[in-house]
Amino acid sequence: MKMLHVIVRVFKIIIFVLIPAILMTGCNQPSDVMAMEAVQLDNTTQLQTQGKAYTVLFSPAIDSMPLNKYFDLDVQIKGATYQTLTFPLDMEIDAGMKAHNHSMNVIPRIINLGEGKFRVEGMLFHMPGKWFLRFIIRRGAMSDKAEVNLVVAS
Amino acid sequence: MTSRISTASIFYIASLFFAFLSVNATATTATKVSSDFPAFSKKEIQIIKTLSSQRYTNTSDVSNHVSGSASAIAFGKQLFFSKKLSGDGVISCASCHNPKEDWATHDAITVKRTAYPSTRHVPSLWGVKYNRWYFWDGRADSLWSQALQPIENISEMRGSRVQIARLLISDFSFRKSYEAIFGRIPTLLLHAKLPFRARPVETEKTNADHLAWVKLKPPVQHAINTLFSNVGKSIAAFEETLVSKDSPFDQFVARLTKEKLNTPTELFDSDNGFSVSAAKGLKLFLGKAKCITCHFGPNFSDGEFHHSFLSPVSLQGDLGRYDGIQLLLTNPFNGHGKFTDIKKGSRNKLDFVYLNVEFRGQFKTPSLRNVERTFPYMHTGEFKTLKDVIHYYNTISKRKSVNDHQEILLKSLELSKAEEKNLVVFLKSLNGYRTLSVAQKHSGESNTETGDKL
Repeated sequence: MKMLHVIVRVFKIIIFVLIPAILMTGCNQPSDVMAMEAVQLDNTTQLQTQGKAYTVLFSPAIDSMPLNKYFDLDVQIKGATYQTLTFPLDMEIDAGMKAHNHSMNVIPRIINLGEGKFRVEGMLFHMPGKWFLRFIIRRGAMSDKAEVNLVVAS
Repeated sequence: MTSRISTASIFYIASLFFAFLSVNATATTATKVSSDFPAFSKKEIQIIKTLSSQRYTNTSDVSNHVSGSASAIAFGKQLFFSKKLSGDGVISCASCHNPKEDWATHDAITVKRTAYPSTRHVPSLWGVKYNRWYFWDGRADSLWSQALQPIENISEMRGSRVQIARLLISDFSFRKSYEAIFGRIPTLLLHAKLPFRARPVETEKTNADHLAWVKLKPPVQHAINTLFSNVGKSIAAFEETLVSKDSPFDQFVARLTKEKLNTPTELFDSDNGFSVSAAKGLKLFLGKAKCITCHFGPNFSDGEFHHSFLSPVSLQGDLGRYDGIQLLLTNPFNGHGKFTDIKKGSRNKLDFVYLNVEFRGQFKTPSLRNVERTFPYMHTGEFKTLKDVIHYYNTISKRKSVNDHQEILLKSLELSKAEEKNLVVFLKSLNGYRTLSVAQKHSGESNTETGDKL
């Protein structure tokens, strides 16, 4: 009888602790970033980061990104209230097609120009369809993300 | 008088009657066509226009300073058809890229024309100028650096760069053409004691060719490499002229563009070879069959690499793009090398290349220009007909996938037999003229292929 209690307890631990833990670990993959609502300003797109720490402005805008042609992206990271940032930041960029299960075929070069400005060289969306574009902004050990969905037309 | 009026009236009435019959007959035809010819949306018409050969740009290759040069095109053609470039003097570039077989070969995997079997099907050179990467695995980043590899490949022409240097020094015709374009061959090379053959073989340091190569002094090696790269640049200048235009599909698009036609009935012209079946195939190409996802632009290719789920054996034995990137980055004739004409500091596509395990088993999307005539199909050459290819993609879910990367878009298309047939008819409408006018003009040779409508 005591043995049965032990088995039940182990079973409960598996169900209520281990499985949720495994599932939560899976959720920590970069794909959990929610797409943001983008604001279009002429040829610039504006996003809020997920943690609301930053505003990301970039051009060309999401509706002007070319199909299968290399292009550069000019990015400016500002504070939540659009203030210019005076502290050092790093930025990573990622893009891919979730429905196709692939990222870009290139690794773009990111040039940090200071004061939250970055130039991203060698972006390439090689197929038409739905892409995501993700910005990961790091300040020391802290990071925040912004993601937007876009459609690259044929 | 009465009689004359009466005759005129009869004639007038008869004319009206025949005119009515004629109009009525046209209307009947139009109605029939209208019901058969698929309607294209504005978005579809916009995409269709981007596929026309009119959209081919006439830019030259920035990595090749003789790209587009008339004298280099003529010299390149001379080299392309010369068997003297091969190790045993038996084959030329044209042996496998045969103009009579649309600059390809109709053999499948085994290339019977060379001493050793190849593992991949010979791709056609139509539209080769517009590729971003070369070879099925993209292991070259320019057409001229691609042209060098088969010359030294032991499975292909089995030649060597030193043999090429000796040929250019000793053959009066070749030397005259070469020096007219690239200047005098350096005296360093003219006075050097060159072995019969030598080439670097980094993977096999005890190879006789390699041992002969490392015995040469570095300045001599550099002069030979420069000469060898110039040979590649000339061959590339010729190959760039192989562009196919004016297919029935292109003529159909021209009607769309020029006449600003709006209705399906107006688009139809039974005389231009673009049938109702081809139009239905085009509609499928853009939509249900999803071909447009990878086959877009005037060359009908994204120029990139994808997994096509061919037999697992070929995947294990041939890693495609994964191996290709490693070969590309170590190639001394690539866009970062000493022999490219890309200006230092300018943008270079090689800067953004990376190795990813997902690239295993990926192969380049081929152009569909003249696709009916460039059989067999796929990098393995395992399908003999377009019908086989379409049926393969239509039933692809029955195939096994691979772990590294899944082209999850490749699913069974649920196409009917009639739809499969329409797609094939559309692909056949991409057969165009064989345009060789520039190469022919400067080579002094006649070429019966030029201008043939096929």
